[in-house]
Amino acid sequence: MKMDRPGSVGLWETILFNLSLVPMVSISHRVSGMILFAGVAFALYILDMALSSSNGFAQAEALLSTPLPKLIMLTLLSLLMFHIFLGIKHLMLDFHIGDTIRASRIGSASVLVLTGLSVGVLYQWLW
Amino acid sequence: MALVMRFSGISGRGVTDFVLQRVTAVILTLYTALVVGFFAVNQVDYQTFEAFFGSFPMKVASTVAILATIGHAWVGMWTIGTDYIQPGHWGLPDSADKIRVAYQVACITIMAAYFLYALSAIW
Repeated sequence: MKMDRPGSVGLWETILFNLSLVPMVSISHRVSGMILFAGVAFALYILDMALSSSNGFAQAEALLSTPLPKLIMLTLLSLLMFHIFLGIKHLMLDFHIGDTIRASRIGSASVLVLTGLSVGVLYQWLW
Repeated sequence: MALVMRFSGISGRGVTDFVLQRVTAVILTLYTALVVGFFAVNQVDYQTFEAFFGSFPMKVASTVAILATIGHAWVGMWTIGTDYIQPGHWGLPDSADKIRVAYQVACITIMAAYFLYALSAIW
């Protein structure tokens, strides 16, 4: 039987590869997911406040215009966009679309560019 | 079966977890697009906000979304837990198994709280 897989790789190559774009973007899928999971609490808090009454809505609006909550909201939205774009890439990999090293590099870079663009657009729209 | 359950995620079957993670991901992407779209096309004040999130179809969609969030997060958090919190990994002692179970219980507790909080906010 033909063994169609790479042989052993040296430690140095392993370290260099793990610090390169594709795996860095990949591990950040997990990190962003964990932060988003924690962020659900913040999103629910805002939603609950905004839906409670017109007073609550004004209160939520005022809160989101103060620096720290605004930063939290923008960070969560950015991470959500990042997580979604990376998820779409992942779903494409499931169907073996773009699963070569070259395509993965292009894909990972595209995820970062799309995230940057969508965050810019969201920021313009929402504030 | 007990042994299998110990090593498996929400369903006890890897394939089901895999599909659950993908299906919930698609649901959450659509829900995100819906909410972002609402903010994009409307000049949002309390009236439009309440009319949108307070409408029956949107209440159902939001309930589906929080359930999808919990299902999706469980597969993700479970995977992270089993990958990193295990005896021998990063020199962790045998008691890492207990730490992982505590971590899983914490995740489930947070998810239950999220679900109740979301229901009270939505309905």
